[in-house]
Amino acid sequence: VRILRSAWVARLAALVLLVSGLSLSKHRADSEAATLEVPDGAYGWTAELPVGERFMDGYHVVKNMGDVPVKIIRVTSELTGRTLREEGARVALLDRGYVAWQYLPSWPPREPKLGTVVPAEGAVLRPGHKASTYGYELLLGYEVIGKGRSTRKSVTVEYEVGGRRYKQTYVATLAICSPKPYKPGCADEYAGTF
Amino acid sequence: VTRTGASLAAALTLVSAAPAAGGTAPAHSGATTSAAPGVPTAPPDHITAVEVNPGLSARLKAATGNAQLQTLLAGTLMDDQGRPVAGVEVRVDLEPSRAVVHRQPKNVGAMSLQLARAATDSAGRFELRVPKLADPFEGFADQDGTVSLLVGSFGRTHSLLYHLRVRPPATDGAGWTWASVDAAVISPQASTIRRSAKVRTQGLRALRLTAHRNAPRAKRAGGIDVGEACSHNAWTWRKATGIGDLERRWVNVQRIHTDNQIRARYEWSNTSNLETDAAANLGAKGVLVSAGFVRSETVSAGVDFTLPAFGYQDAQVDFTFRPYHLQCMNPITGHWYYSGKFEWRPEIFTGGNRFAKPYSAIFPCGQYVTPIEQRLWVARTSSFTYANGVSLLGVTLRSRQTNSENHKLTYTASSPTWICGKDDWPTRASQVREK
Repeated sequence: VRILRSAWVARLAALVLLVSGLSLSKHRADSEAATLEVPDGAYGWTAELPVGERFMDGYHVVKNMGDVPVKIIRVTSELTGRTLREEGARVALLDRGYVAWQYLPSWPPREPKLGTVVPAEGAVLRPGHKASTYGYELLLGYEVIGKGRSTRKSVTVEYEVGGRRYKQTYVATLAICSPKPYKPGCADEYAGTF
Repeated sequence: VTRTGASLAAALTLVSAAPAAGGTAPAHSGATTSAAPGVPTAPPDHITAVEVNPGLSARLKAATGNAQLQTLLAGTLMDDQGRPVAGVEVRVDLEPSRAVVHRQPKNVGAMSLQLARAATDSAGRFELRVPKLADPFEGFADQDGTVSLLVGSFGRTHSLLYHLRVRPPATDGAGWTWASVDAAVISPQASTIRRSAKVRTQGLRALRLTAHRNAPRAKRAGGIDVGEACSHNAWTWRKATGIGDLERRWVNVQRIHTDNQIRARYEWSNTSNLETDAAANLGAKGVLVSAGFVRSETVSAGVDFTLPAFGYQDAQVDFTFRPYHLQCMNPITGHWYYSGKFEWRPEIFTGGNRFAKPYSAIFPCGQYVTPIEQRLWVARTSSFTYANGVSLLGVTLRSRQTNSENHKLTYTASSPTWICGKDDWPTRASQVREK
């Protein structure tokens, strides 16, 4: 009876350890995921551009709010329509001259005030005071490949913290109309609830 | 010392002669105000009141005896001179939602639900602990799921009323969070919390509230201060309905600054997230003090503001303000009597709107500058507090617009230019201007 009782106590202890381990692990995952702060709410911009233009959208500030590095794995756009093509993503580091540059009519961007620019895939966002206040700027490249209106609904960032992978999607819309001027005007891709 | 609210009558009916346990009865009930500028018509003694959510009252009562408690609010109570107010009782009540308040007939109040009360120690410290409760908070929560808490303390020499808006726990055991942080009442010692993302949770436990001195000749009834006696009893607010009780004031909702290249449009969809300080009369002598943020009683449609280039303006809207009298229940007779305390609150947006020149200087563009060339729109949660958003009967009150995804702020650049945010990059900043 004593042996049986001991076995049950051991099993119970193992179960408690397992449950508490899972709970701690989830807590750690939540905390690590929050290390990268992406834009929240909803915002976007609208432009009329000529067919063939390659341009940069730099209105994406991400912040490292933790005390460990964040490694970017991939940045992707949710596009609708047939007139806009994704050309890639880069990251402007902390030495840039402006916190975010909305639009440049070139891709890849050639602008000294963007400071050090690296490919988004594999970019390491180091922590620190400036990383958590000023943040890093994601630069997204697109090409207008036809006439009409196309939009971007959201942006997804996949990243790694402490050897684990996470993914966040945020609402930052684009509405691009071509040719320029576009009649009767290019409507915003408004994503609020007004 | 922590106790939950007084026991309440069972059903959602008019509350009459059911005495509340642990309460204090004044010698007799009676209105105490006299006519003076800014003092509304005294309310009748005998009003009735409805219990808003008897189920929640029952859950609270049941949970009090056997559940673990959690800290809802904690901090210190100081007087106007910064000295601790020791040995007085502080209470926190859940306030009825604006929809419930709005639909009450004349002379009927919707009762607050007392969550906890505790005494301050010699340093003025208090801690208000509540059972672990979760949704639903029907009858108390506004449409966005947030609730208003009222912290009160009526001592022999000092009184306090302070409203704050919080988000209740979604599940049992989860924490209460500040829906719209009021940095002005966070203890100066907690400056690190104020700057951190934890302000919504930890800030509620680092409050520094100010109690105001009672009027020296506050009328007493039978030797008992009716306000002080009110501390322990059930509360309700009664809307003043006297002719001439309404005041109309301009309230700031947004500050917009354009230079030579930007035109701005602010589409203010409705009034649901505009708050102003309540202006409370605690000493019953017509001296008003700020009593924390409250929302208007009704939600109305908003308006669009369009600002051309070279503008530096405050978008203002016209509101009516109405007095509400704090009534307390005599636990022995079950009758409601007037506490001698009242406050002015925003009631209805009249539809009036205008641009006005701001009083304060333009904020400097710091590190959050961005080149902009294309039309930008933003519909993000952001909050901006005006220190002098309303002027009412001799007191300057704050107004606060919390933008949500229910609004749209659009900046249109006629040629490439720069905009900057006051405290973050422009899509996240509380204020944006053209550089």
